[in-house]
Amino acid sequence: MSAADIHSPSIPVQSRSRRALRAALGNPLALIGAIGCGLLVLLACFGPWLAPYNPLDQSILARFAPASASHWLGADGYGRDTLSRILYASRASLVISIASVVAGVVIGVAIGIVSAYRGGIIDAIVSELANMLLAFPTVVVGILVLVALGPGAQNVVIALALSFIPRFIRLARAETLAVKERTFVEAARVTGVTDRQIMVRHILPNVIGTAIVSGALWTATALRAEATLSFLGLGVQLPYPSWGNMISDGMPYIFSNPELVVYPCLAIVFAVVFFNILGDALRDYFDPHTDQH
Amino acid sequence: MLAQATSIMLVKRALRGVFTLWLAVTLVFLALRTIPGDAADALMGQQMSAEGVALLRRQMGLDQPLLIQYFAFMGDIVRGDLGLSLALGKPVSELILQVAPFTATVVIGALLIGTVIGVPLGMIAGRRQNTWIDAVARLVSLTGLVIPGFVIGILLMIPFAVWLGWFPVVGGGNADDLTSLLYFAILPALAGGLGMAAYLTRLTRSVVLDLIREDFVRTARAKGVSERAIFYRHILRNALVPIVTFLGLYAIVMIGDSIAIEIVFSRPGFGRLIMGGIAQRDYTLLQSVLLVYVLTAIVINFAVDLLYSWIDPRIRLTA
Repeated sequence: MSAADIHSPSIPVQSRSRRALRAALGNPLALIGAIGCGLLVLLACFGPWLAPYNPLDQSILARFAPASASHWLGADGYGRDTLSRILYASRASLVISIASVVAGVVIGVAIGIVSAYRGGIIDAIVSELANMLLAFPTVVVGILVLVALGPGAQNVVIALALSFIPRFIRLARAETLAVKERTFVEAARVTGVTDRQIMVRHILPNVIGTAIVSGALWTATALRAEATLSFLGLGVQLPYPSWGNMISDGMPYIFSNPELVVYPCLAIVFAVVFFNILGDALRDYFDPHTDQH
Repeated sequence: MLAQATSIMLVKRALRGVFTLWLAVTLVFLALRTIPGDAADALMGQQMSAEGVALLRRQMGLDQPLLIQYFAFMGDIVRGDLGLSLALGKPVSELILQVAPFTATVVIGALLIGTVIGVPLGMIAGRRQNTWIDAVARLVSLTGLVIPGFVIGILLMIPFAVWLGWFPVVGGGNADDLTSLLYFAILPALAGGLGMAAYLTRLTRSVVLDLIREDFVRTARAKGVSERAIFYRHILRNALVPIVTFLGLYAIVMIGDSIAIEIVFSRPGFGRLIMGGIAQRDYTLLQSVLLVYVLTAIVINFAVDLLYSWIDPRIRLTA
């Protein structure tokens, strides 16, 4: 066995998955979160096949149609089917949120590990910059970036990722600083393993678990921010639906047809709550020390 | 010695605040210059002749090199001159002061509501761990804390303003009349405050649970101090530090959230200034409002630091 193969001890895969299953069954809330998120992801994947109509198809006859057998959730002012628009929008919201968190995790963890491992003046600058960026509200950063780059799904991902990166830099830095001094890292260094290999093979596996769990929690925040930005007209652009822009589109009709606003609101509520419950349960499971109560 | 350590810390924090502000000003300056088409184009629309736009550009200093523009911009800001709004032609500072009371009532109201609900609920849940009150508090806080404020606002607006008509749907009330200002702010402040209450319940509960297990609580109990006194003198006092930290952090979140909440209730606040600024490409207005946000965030951070050393004297030594 070469020095590079020295890993920190880990629990065998099978017992871990069995433990997870037992934990999930013992915690009904976690199960609800997992099932809810699973359903949302399925809806986002298969929404276009499930949706009864094209979300952009207008129909003068169906303008403000009430809920009925042909339009389960009714139709909007252009006669577009609300259910189909919500299903299509779920895809946009989930893809944008998950992509921005993944980008935040990947970039933030990479910067955090390298910065903490190298130490010195660069590390000081990186951590100071990260702390400063954390002082700006996510929505304000989002608005600034989207004003500069222009609205649209891709730019929302960039805007949200930018506000997540400093959080994951902080997290990865803290974990790396703790792991860096452990014996197995020292052993690897003594046997001549390069710094790059140490970071990738020894430090990364110890950091990534915490980062992923924390990422699951941040997905709910990303969904929330995406909804806010697209409500403000800076996200997915009409006529393409997003939950946020469906709400702003429906606001003028809040007296006559409040359901146009209520359904996308409920979609947002369910999505963020499911993801938050799941993230919370994941954190309790992987890191029981943070919140034992 | 003690006072010296504290003042060194405060000077450090203040310097960091100034540096953050400089960084923010620079970022805002650069971000707004990357937008295709400059302020003169935006101001003139498509109708103006090329000569006219060039003249305007010269007047606005936009024909200068970027670095010169940057220093001029910084100089204006240092002097407190936020410039004229491109779209409305009024001083930006005047526009900001006009709407400030509307945004302030929502943000401060939301923070008050969140604290008044969240802290006691968390305390009760923490003291009665594993009772039904605790279970309800946990469930509410787990689900409530991530719902966007503007969604809560809409879900409050439909029953209480649209159907029952108890509250206004549109507007911010009369700025000179405190009663009307507060009346119009009730639903928007609730929209921001309920999410915060959920967060704060959770935090307070977990802090109380940690403190209950501390040695000094056990000692106090062994000495025969009443449960009431233990709670108020030992637990509450110690719980204040994390709660104040949270309030500071959440005040910053709330400033961001208030933008969408204000739009929902069509209030004449910062949210409307920002969205109007984006729609009309009114960059001077936009950059100033964004700077006010950042400045507020920095001031809040600094205030939290000051509060710390007042609440918990131990922090002065360790900082």
